[in-house]
Amino acid sequence: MKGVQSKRPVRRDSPHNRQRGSTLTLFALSLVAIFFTLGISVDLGAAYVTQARLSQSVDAGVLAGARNSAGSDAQIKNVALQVAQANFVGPHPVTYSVRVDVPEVDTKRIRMSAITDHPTTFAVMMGALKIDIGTQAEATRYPLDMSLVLDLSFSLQRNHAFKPI
Amino acid sequence: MTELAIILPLMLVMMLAAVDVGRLIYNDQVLTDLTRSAGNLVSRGSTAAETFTATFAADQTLDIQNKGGIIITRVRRRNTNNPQPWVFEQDRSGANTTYASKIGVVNGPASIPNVTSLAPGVTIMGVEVVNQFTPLFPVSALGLNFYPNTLYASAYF
Repeated sequence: MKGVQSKRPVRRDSPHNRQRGSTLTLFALSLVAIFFTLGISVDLGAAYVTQARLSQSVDAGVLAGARNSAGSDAQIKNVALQVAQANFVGPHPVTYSVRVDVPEVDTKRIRMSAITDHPTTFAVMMGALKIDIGTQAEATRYPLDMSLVLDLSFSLQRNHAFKPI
Repeated sequence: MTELAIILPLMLVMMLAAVDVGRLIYNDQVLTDLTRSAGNLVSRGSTAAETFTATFAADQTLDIQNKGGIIITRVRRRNTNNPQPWVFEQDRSGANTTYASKIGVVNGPASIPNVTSLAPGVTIMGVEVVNQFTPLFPVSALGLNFYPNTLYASAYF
């Protein structure tokens, strides 16, 4: 190689000339890495937004369940589920699970978890088709000793919230 | 130099639009947070008037009181025999008095996402907050009006 090089004009053999074109190659190579990194950031960002929304929805769900804790466990679960689903409207199906237990006497604890898949847009190139998202929330309703209710609007009576004494 | 002259207007539009898109996302986020706070308050027993006062006080950036409005809707089942979600009460406050609630009107059917029936005694509080969005650099003069005039957020508790 040394002999071949020596026959070339000095100017063409300068270090500057020998490196011509390498920037393009380097850029092309780094572009792949840049796209991967950008893709991951976009997908993860979107997944975090979905998780935040889902988290807010189960928060609202358990609070609604706790507020309506006078009903049976099935009713509490139903209300919690309804409110959570009202707050999270997305294209992806969500699996909710609600549990109601009694940690102390006359105390109701509502726990709710939600799991969904967030389909990826860019990370698909790396074989990641979806990102699993999970969240959970808990609300506890402590016993109420006595409450005085004046049904001035007759809404409770109209809704049969209380049975006549 | 010629290339710069050609590309400069496009770059300027993109840069200025980026500022407003950022503001749009930020305002939407603040609006969502305020809506959830209001929903939380009203579901824990605060009256509508108290919730309005607290939300307007908490709103440091959007000026919802003068540029938008809050609508609080109480939804229960229609009657003993009919589980259809029904609007029983609705309160609103703020300068925007014309924005129609997406949940419904008093004594009318309530539209809540994914909820088609309600058990007896169950009340769902719907809080909707709307606010006017004014871009700093209106690109509507260039025929590129892609900003919404009104931002909307809703929460159910």
